[in-house]
Formats: sequence, C-alpha cells, structure tokens
Amino acid sequence: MLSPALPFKDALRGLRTGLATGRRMIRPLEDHSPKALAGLMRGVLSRADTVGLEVDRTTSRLVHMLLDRPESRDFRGWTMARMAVEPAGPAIFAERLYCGLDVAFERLGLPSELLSEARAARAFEHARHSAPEPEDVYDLSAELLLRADECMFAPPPPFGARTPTAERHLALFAVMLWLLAEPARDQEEEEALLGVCIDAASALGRQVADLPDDRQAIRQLLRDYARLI
Amino acid sequence: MAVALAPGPVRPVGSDPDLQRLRWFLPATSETLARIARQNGTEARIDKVRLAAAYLDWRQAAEGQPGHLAAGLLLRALLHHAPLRITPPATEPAEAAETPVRFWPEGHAFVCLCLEIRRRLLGSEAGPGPSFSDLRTWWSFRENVTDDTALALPFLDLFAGVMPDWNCSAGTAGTPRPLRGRPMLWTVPAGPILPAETATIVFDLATLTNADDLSVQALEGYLAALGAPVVAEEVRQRFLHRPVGAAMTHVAERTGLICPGSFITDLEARRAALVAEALVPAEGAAATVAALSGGGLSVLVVVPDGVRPATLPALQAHFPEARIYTDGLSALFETQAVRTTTVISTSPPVIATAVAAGADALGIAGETVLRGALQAAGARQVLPADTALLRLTGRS
Repeated sequence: MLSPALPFKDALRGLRTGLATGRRMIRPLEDHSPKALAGLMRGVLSRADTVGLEVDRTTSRLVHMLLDRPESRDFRGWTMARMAVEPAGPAIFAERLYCGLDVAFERLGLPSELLSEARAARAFEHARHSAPEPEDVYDLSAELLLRADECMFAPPPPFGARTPTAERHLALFAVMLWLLAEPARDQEEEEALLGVCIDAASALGRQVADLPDDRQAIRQLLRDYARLI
Repeated sequence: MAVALAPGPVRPVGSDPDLQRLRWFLPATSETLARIARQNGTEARIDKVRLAAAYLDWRQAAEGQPGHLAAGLLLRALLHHAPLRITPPATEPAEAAETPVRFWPEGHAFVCLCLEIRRRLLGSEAGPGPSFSDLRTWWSFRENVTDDTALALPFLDLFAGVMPDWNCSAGTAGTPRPLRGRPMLWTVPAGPILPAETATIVFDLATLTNADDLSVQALEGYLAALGAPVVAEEVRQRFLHRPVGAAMTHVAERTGLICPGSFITDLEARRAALVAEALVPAEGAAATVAALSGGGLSVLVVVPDGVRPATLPALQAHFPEARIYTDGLSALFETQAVRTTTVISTSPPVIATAVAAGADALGIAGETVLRGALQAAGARQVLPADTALLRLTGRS
C-alpha cells in the first residue's frame, strides 16, 4: 500500500512547476507589448512573481518538512538490492529517482521534467512482480528504466517543453547506475557519486541515448558499467 | 618526472585503489594530470566526460591483461578520447620548444601518468628509459599513434626502457593482434634532414611526380585486359615495387593460362603511354628541386627504363634546375661520388641499390607496409609522403 502523501507531494510540485513555467513563458512578452500595455504587464508580472515565489517557497517547505520522513535525506544503504525486497522500497526508490533526476537534468542542461513519485513508486511495485520476474537487480533496473520513460513523468504544464527521448535516456541511465553502484561512505561522497554516474552516462553517449526498448540489452549495459562506478 | 597518485604497491588493475572504480580514478587522475601540467609551467583543462569515456573503454579492454599491457591500453584510451588540453606559457625561451614536454604537452602528460601506473601495476621502480628524453622518439610516437592508437602499447614499453614488441599490440577488443609490420619510427628532426656532406641529391622520378600512380593504373588496366582484374589499391599493395613475376603469377593463377611472353614489354608500353599523357609533378616538387639546387646541391632526377624520350623535354621543363638522368642508378654510381650522394625513392629495390653502392638513402612512404619495406631495404629515414618534400628543405 503506497503512502497517501505521495499524490499530495506530486500535486504541490505540479503547482510549483506550472507557475514557474507560466512566469518564464510570459516574461519575454513584456518587451513586445505596446507601450500603453507595458506598464500594466509589468505590474501583473510583478504580482505573479510575488505569488509564484511565495508558492514556490511554501510548497517546497511543505514537501520537505511535512512529507519527507526525517531519515529520508540520507539514502546511503538503500541499494537497489535492498529496495527490491523491503516494503518501503517503492517509496524510497521514487524519492531517490526524483532527487537523482533533479540533479541529472540540471547537470545535463535539460529542461526540468516533473517526475511523479506516486507513479514511480507504483511502477516499482509492479516491476518487481512483473512477468517474467526480474532475474537480478540489473534486470529490475532495466525494466524500471523502460517504465520510467513510459509512465513515471507527469504531463508537462501548458507551454512546458518535454526533454528529447535520447537525453531523457541519458539522465535515467545515470540515475540507475547511481542506484546500482556500491554505496558511498558518506553523504558528501554519495552526491559526488551521482556526478560520476552522470559523467559516465554522458561518456557512453549514443550507446545510452539510443537505448533500444530491449530489457536484456539494457540489463547487460547496466551490469557491465555499474561494477566500474 | 614526478607523478604521484595515492601511494600503494598494488598490482592487478582491479585491486588498485585509484584504478578500481571510476569514482576514484576521475579525481586521482585529474589531480595527477593537473599536477604534471603545473610542474611543467603549464595549465591543464580536463574534460571529465572524456576522461570517464577513456576509463570505461580501458577497463573493458584491460580485463585480464597483464600489467604492462594494461598501462599501454590506458595510454591508447587516453590518446583516443583526448580528455586533456594544456595551455603553454605565454612566453618562454625558443629552446624550450625542442623538449618533449613542449613538443606534445598532452601526450607527454599521458605518458608520465601511464608510466607511473605501469610501475605500480608491475610493482617495479624501473624506468623511464633513455627514449623518454629523446625528441626524435617523440616525433615518431606522435606520427605513429596519430595513424594507429594501438601503437601506444609498444611505445609505452619503449619510454619505460623496455624492448618493445612492435609486432603485437592490443586490438579494439583488448586481445593482441598482429601488426602488418614493424611500424616506422619517424626519426625526423625539425630542421633540414640531409647530411652536411651531401653534395648531390638523386630523386627517383616517383618521389617528384605521380609516376607510381600511373604504374598502378597501367598494371590495373593490363590485368583487367588479361582477365585477372585487381582493384587499384590492391595492385599498389601487392605489385608496386615488387618483381613483375608476382603479377604474372597472379594472372596464371586467376586465368589458368600462361602469361603472354610479351607481358613485360606490353606493361612497359602501357606505362610509358600513361607517363607521356598524364605525368604531373607532385605538389611543391618543383619548388623543392629549385630550393635544393639554389642551396648549392647538384640535383638529378633518375627516370626508369621505358619512359619515352619524347617525355623528357616536358620533364626537364618541370624541373629546369635538375639534370634528367636516363641510364639507371647503377650507371650513375659509376660516375658519381657515392659517399656525398643522397638518394630519395619510394622503391625498396632502388633504396637497396643505393645503400649497396654506399650512398645515403631516404625513403618516402604514405602507408605502413611500404614504410617497413623501405626501412628493411636500408633507408636511413622514411619520410611521410605528405610532408617529405617540405621537410627536405627544412620548411616543415
């Protein structure tokens, strides 16, 4: 049974992302407005900024303070192998995937996409009981990578751009490597490790970007490279 | 050379703390490369993604390989992915350009790093060898690995002071594969390359013109006419500068018939016709002849048998400063002061003739097999085809 908090978390993030995207899209119009409307437009944008930033701060605080478990920021020890067997696995996976993709999208210079933690947790729950049942954690990760592309992201807000598939594959592959790699010794190293995984995925380039929808092929790639991270 | 990765006498790649995983290799190697650059008074820019690509390629290739081969494979991967850019100091003395580190700063830093890794993997304190400080070896290294990065393996052995195995380097799958022949060591200094005592320089016609291409074209056409076609590139590799019997054997094998008795004369007639119609000087050839002649050297162009007398005036017009010689190299040496003569040729038999007579000999080649053959024939140096003429006059 998934936590009922996850959809609420997604909704708050959706609200925040939608407002931010709207403000980004409207701002360039200010320069192209007739002179008579420019002042009015500036006033509207200024008020929208005030509201937007307040919503941003509040939702962020709500998400992190009210909904996250106190220990949830320290991911060490929650390897894919452990997530695959523990009841809390799906929720932890969703949270790690969200945080990992947040960093990966930024490092790769991609437009931000909203991952739904509720969808990710549900997909994890289904994947670990999928048919055929995953043979190992690499197989499970390959299945999750395919499902992530299909169904874990929220629809983009109005005017929001989607990341091209090839680049989304790079980000997802990087995070899967991070989840499969031997855990780091401390939190600081854990963050550096994610950076190394993003570099590795970028280094593999088209081999990863053009991933086929072939679970075995993805499993093999993850198994070959996770051990070297 | 001072290179310091984290200390630790560890041998297998997989158990070395800095090499075992990308998370440790990236920072340790970045820091080491940056330190090498600082020690040489330069500044390094490291591309982490390219460095990661080099590491991942290397680990796949080095699986199960012994230590010295593993270090060479790392050098190959670093040269291939080029994760380092070094900015030289804004001003420095001119003589600094004559050192390996200034000649190729990135290559030098990679070799320093890989020699250190080699020592650690082998648990040995040996090296570097004398070649490490020899600028001519670095010329050779750069030229060769630009053609084929697999040659990084024997070159790292050479820099380490170990006799390299030129006939075996690691292929893309990480398994040893034979080379086509010993790679040419480009021992070409930056300045003029003719010996100080050279008074006469003798060019084989093919070094100054497209004569070799025309020979290939003539044989290609003739083989096709005899029902034993071979594409031009294969003709060049199998038959150019080889005894004509090789081509005759090919015809016999392919057609089941004995070659016509007139094979040699027919072929020469075809070649002479092409030379008469289509011989053109190589780019920069006329300027090279003029510069050498202007520098006080006597310049001769030796024309092979079969070239029609009617072709000679045009040839003389291309190279007005040179004497066109039609009687063959052996006859030339009967009248020429051999010890002060340098012969330049693309043909191993011509090089062998010159060396046997006691002359200095330089080869010109554009590909590995011919380089090896010219060197085996006794050429003192083999110059790369694209820059040979410029180098002869010290212009490159």
